[in-house]
Amino acid sequence: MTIILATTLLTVLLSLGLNRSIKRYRYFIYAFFALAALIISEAEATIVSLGYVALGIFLVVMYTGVLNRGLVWKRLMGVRAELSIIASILLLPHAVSFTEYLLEDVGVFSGTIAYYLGILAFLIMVPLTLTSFMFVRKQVGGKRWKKLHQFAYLFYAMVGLHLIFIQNDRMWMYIAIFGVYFLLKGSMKLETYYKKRKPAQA
Amino acid sequence: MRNAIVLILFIAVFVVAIIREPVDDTLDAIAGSTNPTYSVSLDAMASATEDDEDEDEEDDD
Repeated sequence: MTIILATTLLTVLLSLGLNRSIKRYRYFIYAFFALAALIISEAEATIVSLGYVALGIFLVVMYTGVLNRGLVWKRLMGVRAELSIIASILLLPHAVSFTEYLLEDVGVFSGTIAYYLGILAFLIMVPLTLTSFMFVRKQVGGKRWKKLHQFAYLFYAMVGLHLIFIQNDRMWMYIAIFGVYFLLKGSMKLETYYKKRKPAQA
Repeated sequence: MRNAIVLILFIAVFVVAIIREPVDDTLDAIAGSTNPTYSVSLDAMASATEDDEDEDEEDDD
């Protein structure tokens, strides 16, 4: 958890400080992380192939959505798509290595529920990542894009359950992190619902 | 309000993580070696037990 949260902290600091540079050089950054992911996928168990770094970045993407509007929110929101693409790239070695492990060593039907939730999360993540690229987003269109990206909540839920069902020492920390997120998001949705309802009633 | 909740949550989880996870294990994991803190997930996911080290011991002589 220390590694995950240190990655989260570093991501927040870099996003706040290098906001414009991340946006300007995003394709170079993607290429760098893609190359890094390719090299890392050769190694057996690293903080990238275990999914810690990707999770640390995804937590920033996730929690940006529940922050109060302000300077921090604005800056993080500005690089949210870029961060989600970087996190997805870094999640690839994790997804590939564990799928390989499931197929070759564990057996496709013999894995624990955590495996299948992880695979499901990965499958949901693929279209979300592809449509996070601005040129794809423009082609998809605003409304359809927004509708599709509602699946991000399902993705977060699957990731949360995947981590919780591993049932390791970090389980309660995952419950806290994902539980608080869904409570905050739920309260925001309710707030929006009642705000929309009030003028209609008046 | 929400920002304060998020900040408190992350600080609390970070402190708990630092207390529970030995710094050496974290540094080892960053360096690329597995250890009890950062390798159990793989065994747990495969439904393997974690206390079977004795069975795999090899004699050196």
